[in-house]
Amino acid sequence: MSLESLPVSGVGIGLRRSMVKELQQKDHPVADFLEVAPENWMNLGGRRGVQFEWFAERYPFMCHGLSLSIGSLEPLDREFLLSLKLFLRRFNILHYSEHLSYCSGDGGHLYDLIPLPFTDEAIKHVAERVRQVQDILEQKISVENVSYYTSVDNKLSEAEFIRAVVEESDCGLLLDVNNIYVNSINHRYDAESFLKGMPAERVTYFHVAGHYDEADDLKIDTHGSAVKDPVWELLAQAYQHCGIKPTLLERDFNIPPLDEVLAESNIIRQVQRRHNSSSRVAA
Amino acid sequence: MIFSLQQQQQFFTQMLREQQSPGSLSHIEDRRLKVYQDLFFNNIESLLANGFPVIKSILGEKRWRELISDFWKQHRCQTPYFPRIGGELVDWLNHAKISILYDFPFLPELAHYELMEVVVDTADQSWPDLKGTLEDLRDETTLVLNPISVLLHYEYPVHQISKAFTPQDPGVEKTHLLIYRQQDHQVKFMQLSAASVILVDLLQTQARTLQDLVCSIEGSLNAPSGSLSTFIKQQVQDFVTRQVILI
Repeated sequence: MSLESLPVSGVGIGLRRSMVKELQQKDHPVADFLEVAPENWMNLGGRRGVQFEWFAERYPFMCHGLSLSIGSLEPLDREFLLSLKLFLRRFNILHYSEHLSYCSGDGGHLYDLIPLPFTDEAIKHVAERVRQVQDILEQKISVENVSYYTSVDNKLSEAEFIRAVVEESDCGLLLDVNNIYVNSINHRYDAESFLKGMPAERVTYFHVAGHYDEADDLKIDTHGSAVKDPVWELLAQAYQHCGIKPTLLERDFNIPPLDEVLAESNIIRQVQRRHNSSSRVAA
Repeated sequence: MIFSLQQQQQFFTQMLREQQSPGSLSHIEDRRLKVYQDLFFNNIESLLANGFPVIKSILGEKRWRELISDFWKQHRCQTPYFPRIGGELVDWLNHAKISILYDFPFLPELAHYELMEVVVDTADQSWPDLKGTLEDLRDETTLVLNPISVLLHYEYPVHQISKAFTPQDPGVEKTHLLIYRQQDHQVKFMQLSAASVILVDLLQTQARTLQDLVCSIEGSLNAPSGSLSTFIKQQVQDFVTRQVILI
């Protein structure tokens, strides 16, 4: 599968357990694709297993991993990767992505994302790990730019780091637009120039989400509120830079009624339409 | 100065695990480290709160968070799967040396019981191809124990424990519970008498006909032939109705 052309387009939403009932009541698909964290749904039987099969029969799926710990210095969990590979094949999952970070390292899992230093040493390590994962899964994966709240002794810029990892590992880039915005505030850089520094040809798809304003100079990537206006503006700029790619709305906390989530996902559609009509005018 | 990847990972994991800055690389704003410490701790807390609602309600917010904090600091979870983190808490509780166990000595058993409900609910096992109903039950009918079931023996009556009932001592008799999943995926539990435990134990070893089952139980209790037949048949009928036994 080539990276530039995932066999899906349009607008997706992250499937959360609390949405299952409402989604199953709809008599037609309400999104072009769904996304799950495989670690929440793999190896489950009973009602959870039946639910996942129900959705997999009706929606194209992407998997966005949380536990692989791709940047960790601890060995890759091969057993997990082999289970994942079976899961991806069994349900015809279109694409698998992970975070450009790590979540273990002291002999156990910590279940959330720890920032990597932007150094040559980290690039070399992570790129090698991404290559190993792609070899085991026998498919290309994407890595996602993560939000981070502090960095330690970075030698390179974040954009240089991301570019080098995806080039050296020959993988895709899942560009999280909210993370770009949050990081641009937290680390005082210009979001638009950062965006323009991203390798457009490697971008497989986009994420948007809401964040929490902890302070003027500190935003937290919570996925717990509506997407904010500057993030929508940045999404429009991302389309200008990379072209329209499948775009997913992430909502993981304070999840409102489904129709509210869908209304918000429709804003993505509007941004895509606006981009299409303005590029036609330009042409 | 550039720290190695190894040093950086050690700093971050230690800072997050111990919920305080280890110092060596700690020229970072405290406010930003605190963001990370809170994010990570609140994440594990809410993941576990979903799986152990009874324990959380009994302990109350403050003691519950202390328990999770001890777990977080002392234990190194191995599972990459979120629905299985509860199993890690139970494993840890079984050998943890924590003072909360003096006030709540039943915690390891209650946690195990709450975990088993989730395990049965999500067990990746399909329903066997057995469609018999009560009307089909004969002496020669083969009885199969529901494969999506667990037989549990506890010192405490864990199924009765609540905020209003927090026993300090084990029950006089053991509590035998069977948790099982029905064909429509609903999870049920029932308390078993010592006699029913023998029945379920026998079927756990292998499927048998009703006739065989009666003989085996009477044999194991040295009861005269036929003396327990009516009781056992009634029990089996009840189990078939509940989908504990499939025919």
